[in-house]
Amino acid sequence: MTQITGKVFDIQKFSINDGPGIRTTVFLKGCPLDCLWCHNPESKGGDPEISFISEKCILCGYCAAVCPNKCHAISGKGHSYDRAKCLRCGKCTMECYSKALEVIGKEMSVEEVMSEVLKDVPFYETSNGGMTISGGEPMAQFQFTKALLEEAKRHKLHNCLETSGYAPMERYREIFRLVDIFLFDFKESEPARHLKCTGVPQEVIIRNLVELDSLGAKSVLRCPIIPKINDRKSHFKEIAKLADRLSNIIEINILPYHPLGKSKSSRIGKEYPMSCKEFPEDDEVRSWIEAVQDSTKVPVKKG
Amino acid sequence: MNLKILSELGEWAALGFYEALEQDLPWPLNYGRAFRRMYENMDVRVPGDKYLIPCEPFFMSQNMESHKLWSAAGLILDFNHHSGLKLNPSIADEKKKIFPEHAGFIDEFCADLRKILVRFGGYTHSNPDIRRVVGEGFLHMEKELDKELAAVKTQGDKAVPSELNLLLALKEYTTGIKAYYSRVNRTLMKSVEEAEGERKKKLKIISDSFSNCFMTKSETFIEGFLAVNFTWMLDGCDSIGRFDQALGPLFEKDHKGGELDLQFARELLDELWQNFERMNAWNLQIGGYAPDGKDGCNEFTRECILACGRNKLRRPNVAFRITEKTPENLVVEALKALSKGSGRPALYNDDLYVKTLKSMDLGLSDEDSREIGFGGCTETMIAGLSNVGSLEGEINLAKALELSIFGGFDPVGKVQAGPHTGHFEDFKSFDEFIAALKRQIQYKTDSFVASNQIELRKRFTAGDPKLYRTFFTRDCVKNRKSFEAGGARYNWAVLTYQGIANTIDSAAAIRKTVFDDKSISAEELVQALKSDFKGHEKTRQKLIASPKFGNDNNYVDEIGIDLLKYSWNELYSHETPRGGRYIASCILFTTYLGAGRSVAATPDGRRAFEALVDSVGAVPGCDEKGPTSLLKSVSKLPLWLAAGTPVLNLRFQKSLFSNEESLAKLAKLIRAFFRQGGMQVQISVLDSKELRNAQKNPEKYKDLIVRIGGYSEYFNGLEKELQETVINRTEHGI
Repeated sequence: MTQITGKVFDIQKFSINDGPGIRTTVFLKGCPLDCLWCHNPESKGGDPEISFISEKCILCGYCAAVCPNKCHAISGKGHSYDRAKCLRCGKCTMECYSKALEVIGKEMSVEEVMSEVLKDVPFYETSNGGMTISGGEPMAQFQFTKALLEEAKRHKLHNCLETSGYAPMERYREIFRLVDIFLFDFKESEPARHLKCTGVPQEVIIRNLVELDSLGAKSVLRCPIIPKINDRKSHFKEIAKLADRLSNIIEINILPYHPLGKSKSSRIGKEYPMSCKEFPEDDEVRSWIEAVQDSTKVPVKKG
Repeated sequence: MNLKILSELGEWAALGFYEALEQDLPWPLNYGRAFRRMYENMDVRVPGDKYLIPCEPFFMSQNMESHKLWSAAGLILDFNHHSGLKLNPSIADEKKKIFPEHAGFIDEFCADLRKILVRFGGYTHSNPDIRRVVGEGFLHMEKELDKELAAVKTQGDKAVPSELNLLLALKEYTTGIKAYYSRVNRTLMKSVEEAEGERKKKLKIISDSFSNCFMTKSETFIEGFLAVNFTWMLDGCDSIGRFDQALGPLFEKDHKGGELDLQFARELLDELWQNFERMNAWNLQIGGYAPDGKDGCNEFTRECILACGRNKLRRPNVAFRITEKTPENLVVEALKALSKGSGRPALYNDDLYVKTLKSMDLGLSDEDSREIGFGGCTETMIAGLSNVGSLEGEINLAKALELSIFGGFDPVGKVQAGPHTGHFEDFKSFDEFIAALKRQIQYKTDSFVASNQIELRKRFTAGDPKLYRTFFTRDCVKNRKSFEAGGARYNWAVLTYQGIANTIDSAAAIRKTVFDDKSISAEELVQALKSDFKGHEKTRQKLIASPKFGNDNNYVDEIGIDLLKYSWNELYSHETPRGGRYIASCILFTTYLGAGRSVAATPDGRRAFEALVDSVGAVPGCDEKGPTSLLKSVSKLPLWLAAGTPVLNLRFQKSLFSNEESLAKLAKLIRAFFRQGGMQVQISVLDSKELRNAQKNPEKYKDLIVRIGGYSEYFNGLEKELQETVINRTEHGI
């Protein structure tokens, strides 16, 4: 077994929205994109972070007692945590029995990840599920992602890879045979807006997708729809148009915006740039799906 | 006893009971005569909105909604399916108001009943042999009784008195039933005459069908349905058995032949469901293997599932036996019904049940092992063929754990309650501690069995022999033995285990903190428990942070496997006086809070007297890795040794049921659980927000139902503490 390690921020069992069947999704840390609406803000940075959920804090003060830099203080006002002084040593999390303080982003070996993933094989078997690697951007930890995919294939698992598409094409070429389905993000059809909303150019992403398709890679096009940002008719048309260019596409998933990124941001002491804090209404989501479906024969579903 | 006043009071059962005593008739003829007089005299009521007549086991039945009674009742000496003839003080109070001139008599009468009605611990749910009632008819069954009676009588002086007396008592019973059947018939005919329009038309179908069924073989679906209903009423509205198997062929025949008014059939089903609710009745089964080994699902199975979706009621407990061959669309249909929020049907792994019961030392034939029925909450039976002593008692594992920490001393009762197994501080290894715990479990098991054996034997020769069950349970008549004395073809006794996950988590926390990490000293743990963690919060937090059952973590789960294998094998090694074995289960509800109240603080971080976990699942909130991990942990346990039914509660968010794709995945989740050894799962569909709202505005959530320990209950009918438990149960979902 290879000794490659990677930074994992979550392993989620019973994932039923990340590919066929019942799956385990491995979330890797680090992403080259900086999407405004990011619903996994804790996945952006490549390094471990300390998450603090104040609701869980029982004000026991054990963290303050062990912190070498005096970042934690308990007072009548509650628990204050000075992130500026924090060295992210994680000592406080070891003493936090109520799990208010936790390290996000654990260095794990391929073996460690796979032993978790393989636990749910009986569920993959009845449901035709498997493993999904997501992020962050899994291609940003390329060697680790590749090793996980290889190991999963050795165990005959069905592999999905969720990707922003923003990685060198030669890397996709290197792994595409190990991936049964690419869950390929498509966030914005106007290049200038794409750059503005995600921080990276869009052209390379489409080029990668089209080439992967031509290599025979199966894909699901995953489109986050964010009110007031990309819920435009023209964007829906472009989604359909892009899907129609692909011969191995399975379906289009519309991923309606959800504001959970907000509380997640505050847990790791980050700002949340979005002003929209509401879940879109069901009717609205339905109208998005219909708008895309009107222009293509590729099935469109809520993801 | 003044029989004239009893008659004036309409105390028909008492009339027969005392009549027999005054004539010096031997036991159990007093019970036979009681039922005979009751049925000979009992009135029948036909409410204008009902078609299933009789609609209650007693005329003027008072149900639990109005009187907070356990079950429908109408007589001071009335009967309840599980305890038999019994004194009902609430009805006595009612009757004193109606007959003030007899108030003094009623008091004396009650005092006398208290003296002469004997009852010996434990009781059982059961289900009558509805297949014989539908397929052969009552008269055919009575012929068998006549044959046995004639055979005993020809033995003259050599006849065994207990056999003769039992058969004579049964004959009294059947005489009563026949009189009652005729009265129901006459009443129905009369109400047809009085009815008009659509009601008349439907009532005519009911009246005609009733006069053609029960006594003889049922030829149509409606006939079968009414025969089953009548039998269920005679059994005191307990559990029905394999409902869809008894009626499915008739349903399909009539439906195919165009003779069935499907709308009317559904109306009757809804009415039956509501009667179950009203009467506080229990269980019925659908699906499962047919005796020939084929999957038994039929068109009527689906109708029963649809009825679960239509009727948002807590009863009946519908048990859907799912086999490897059960069509997937029916499983999905069941999930859809569950998404409507009634908590029914509960899902059972039929392949494992059949295999397990067959392999146990219970003498089951291949055919009979496929005839599993359930009764009560979800106690495992063979439909119409068994007496399974469904609630003979319970064993509290968390209490055993507490005793093992305090050397057999019970810190709550302040007595030496178990063997001296040494001081916790002196244990040199985790294994030494586990050995002490096992010894305490063994002692509890042995003491229970010893006392239960004594109580059970008393029931062979005194108390209520349960003539209704003796008649309607197969082989009792042939064996000339009462249901209570072990006349049924199959006998066993089901015991429920309390606090399973609390015990596993406590042992795991001890292993982790005291023996492996040494982060808590043995002295500190004992002190913390003694003081209910007051001044020991850090210790408590460490215990809470220790690994917990329900997360697919072998460090914890292997402790559970070891402890339960030991406990359940210990129990299973004992034979009951009726023959058969003691079988473990985990079916808690009414016993659930009580179990917690006898146990002080436990090393899983639970504070003194808090509730114990109510199923074979995780302690609420401790299964943090989602349903697959919980199901893995649970299926590692030796559940087959707890075939009395190891209940598992799962709660899902409603959104998981919102589309076909997601429903299909849920069905696969259940299938995977079953393949790994899961035996039963019952699903609630709720969100905690909804429950919090329900707590705040109970008037707006009158119909909110939750399932706990094999039992659906109105959320607002629960005590606050139970409500909190339900809310805290981990919400699985996305």
